[in-house]
Amino acid sequence: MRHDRCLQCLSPLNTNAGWEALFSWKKPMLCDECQEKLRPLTAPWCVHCSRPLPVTESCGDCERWAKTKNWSGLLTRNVSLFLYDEHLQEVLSAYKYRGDVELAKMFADSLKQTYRKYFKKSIPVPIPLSEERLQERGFNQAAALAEYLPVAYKPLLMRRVDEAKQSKRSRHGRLRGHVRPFAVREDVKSLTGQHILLIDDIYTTGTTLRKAAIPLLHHGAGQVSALTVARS
Amino acid sequence: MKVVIATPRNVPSPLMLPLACVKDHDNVQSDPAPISTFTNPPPPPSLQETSEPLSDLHLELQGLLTGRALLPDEFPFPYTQIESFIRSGYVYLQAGIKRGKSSRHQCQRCGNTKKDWFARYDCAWCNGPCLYCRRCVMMGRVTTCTPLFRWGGPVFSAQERRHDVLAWQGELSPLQRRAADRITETIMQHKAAKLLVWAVCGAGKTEMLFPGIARGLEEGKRVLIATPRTDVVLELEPRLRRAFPTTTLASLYGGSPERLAYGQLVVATTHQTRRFQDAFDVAIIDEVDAFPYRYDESLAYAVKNATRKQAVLIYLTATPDEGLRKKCEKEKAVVKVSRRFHGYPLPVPEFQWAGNWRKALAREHLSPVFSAWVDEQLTSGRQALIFAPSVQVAKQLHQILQKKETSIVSVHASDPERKEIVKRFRDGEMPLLITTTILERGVTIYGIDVVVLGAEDDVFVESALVQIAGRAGRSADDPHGTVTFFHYGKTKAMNRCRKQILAMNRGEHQDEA
Repeated sequence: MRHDRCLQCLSPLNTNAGWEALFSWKKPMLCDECQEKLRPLTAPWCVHCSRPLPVTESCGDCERWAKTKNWSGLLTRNVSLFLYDEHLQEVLSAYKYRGDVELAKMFADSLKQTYRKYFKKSIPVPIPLSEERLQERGFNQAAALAEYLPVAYKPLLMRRVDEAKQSKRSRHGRLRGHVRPFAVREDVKSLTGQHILLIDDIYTTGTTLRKAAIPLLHHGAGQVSALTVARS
Repeated sequence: MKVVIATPRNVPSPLMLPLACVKDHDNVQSDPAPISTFTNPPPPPSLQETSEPLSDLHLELQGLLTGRALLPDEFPFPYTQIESFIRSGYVYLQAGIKRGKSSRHQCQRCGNTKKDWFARYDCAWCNGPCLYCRRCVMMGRVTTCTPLFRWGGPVFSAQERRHDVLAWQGELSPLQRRAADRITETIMQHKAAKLLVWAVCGAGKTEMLFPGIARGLEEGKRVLIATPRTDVVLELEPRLRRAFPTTTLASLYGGSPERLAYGQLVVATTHQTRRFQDAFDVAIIDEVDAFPYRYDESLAYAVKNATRKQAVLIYLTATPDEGLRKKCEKEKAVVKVSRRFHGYPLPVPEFQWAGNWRKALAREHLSPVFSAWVDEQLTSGRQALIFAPSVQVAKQLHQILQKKETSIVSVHASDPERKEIVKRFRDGEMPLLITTTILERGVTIYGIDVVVLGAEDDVFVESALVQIAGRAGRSADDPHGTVTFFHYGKTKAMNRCRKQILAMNRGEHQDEA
């Protein structure tokens, strides 16, 4: 689609940006100012969850996951694209709560590249919303992100238990919940040995993603990873 | 959501009903579909008169919907509760996005017709692809399947004649008085009219409005004050509340608690103005040339939509653009206030050649004249604002100036500490503050000097420079601030700005009528 404005701030995109723009066939989605505010995550980081670290290794939280009974081995790896700072928090709340669906496009290139780099041949599965939340919001923010991956996503999961203001609960509160909010849809055939890639907007403690992995692994999936936009 | 066209029992003509409100006994005449797919929607049904006393819900809806269109999820209760009002014609549905002439889409709330500002997505409300309007999405998403709920009943009228609504007892200067009289006169014409109030920065515009607003309110008129910035709404609200203590006042900005309250006097950001339809008899538009108006053609649409046919429009600005100026001058609808409230002339900008200051900055140097100014300013002990053409320049400058004086900081629009920094500057905690154009208007800091580094840059258009110069000498105790434009080549905008200020000071604009 033709665009001459920054996806985020709707200000006109500079057309006289010099040689680089001249030779590039692709127009940027964002103006320089909005682009610069995104902080891409790169090594050194936690090899399991993308948390920024002084050296690349496994972070304390991931070590704890690995040692906790019933929780270890659920999630092979999470890769997050950007640091969840104040700016990204604003962007994601405009996206999710204000409902500016189009903003997902600003992550399109990074999503594509990251999929190709780390998760080739995996099957993308967006984290589903409960029916109630879906009606409230009018769209699933994870599915709208998954649209931009190079392969089609499969809605294998459904959410049985309401989100119950997940975002307001503390880490302890989230970890303690023994509920199993997700289930594999009834019409899904066995997933024997497949690599499933969960898609979501934010990785906070990783509990939601691990809970979503449980039914998939039960259903025969070989491994479950996650690709998320933001890492807090 | 999906809607149907149906003829309910006991109703003579078909009407549009949300699918969730359809009952077995309704005679449904269409498939359920998104509202914008109906090319020939039935007209709003004629009212079914009732002799019963009005319910609380009726009164609440009347207040909510008088002069306003709401989305289904904007009611403080589920929209299905107003089913009976839809059936009786008191509330009717209108498509949120229509396909207009030449098959362009138009958002019926904000008037957007720009293709780029509509986006397509998979909509869970109607299980299909929908378009939505990105321009006004911050007020809730209007999609091709979203109906806007409108009031079809008799309008809310808390507006009987009243007396002495104005509690403010301050005094106006003779020039302010003159403008205030023109404003009152225009408002009391009781017919469509406009007036451009061209008042220099620091003229005391708000007070000049009080008498006119008061007369309008006393006559039962509904008055809107629209302004581009939330900061200004927040600043005006308490002043208006004190001035008009007996008037129902609503102040509306993104996230304000009074979003749905009824007000006879409404002070709102431009965005919030878009919620209203046919609501106001008087609309006062503050800083008519300011961001985001300047690039926002939808303002005219929003104001036209929000006002009644016979409404009075009052434009307030220190720097009118040529189009508006000419239009109003032709109709002799301009009143100028060329003196500040304290009576002293506006500081006139001085031009200083600064050479290739950008190149110097890239090498972490300051151009010598500018450097000399900084040193002098620091020894003088006077505070000054330094305007930079971009965030990048502001940051570079900040790094260099910090070596001279550690307390100097820079500020830009998306700086999370913006308010805090300005407050600290105001409290005198730093001698110099580097800023982008965000502080160009609306901000009053007493007793400062002002400089622009790179006044030749395209961002500094004539009106921006006039506003910047207007930051100096605001206080009656210290009315003589200095204004210096450091440049690498004089521009038309700089010359015009200077000419405009000189003309104002000569009082050339004294009388036009």
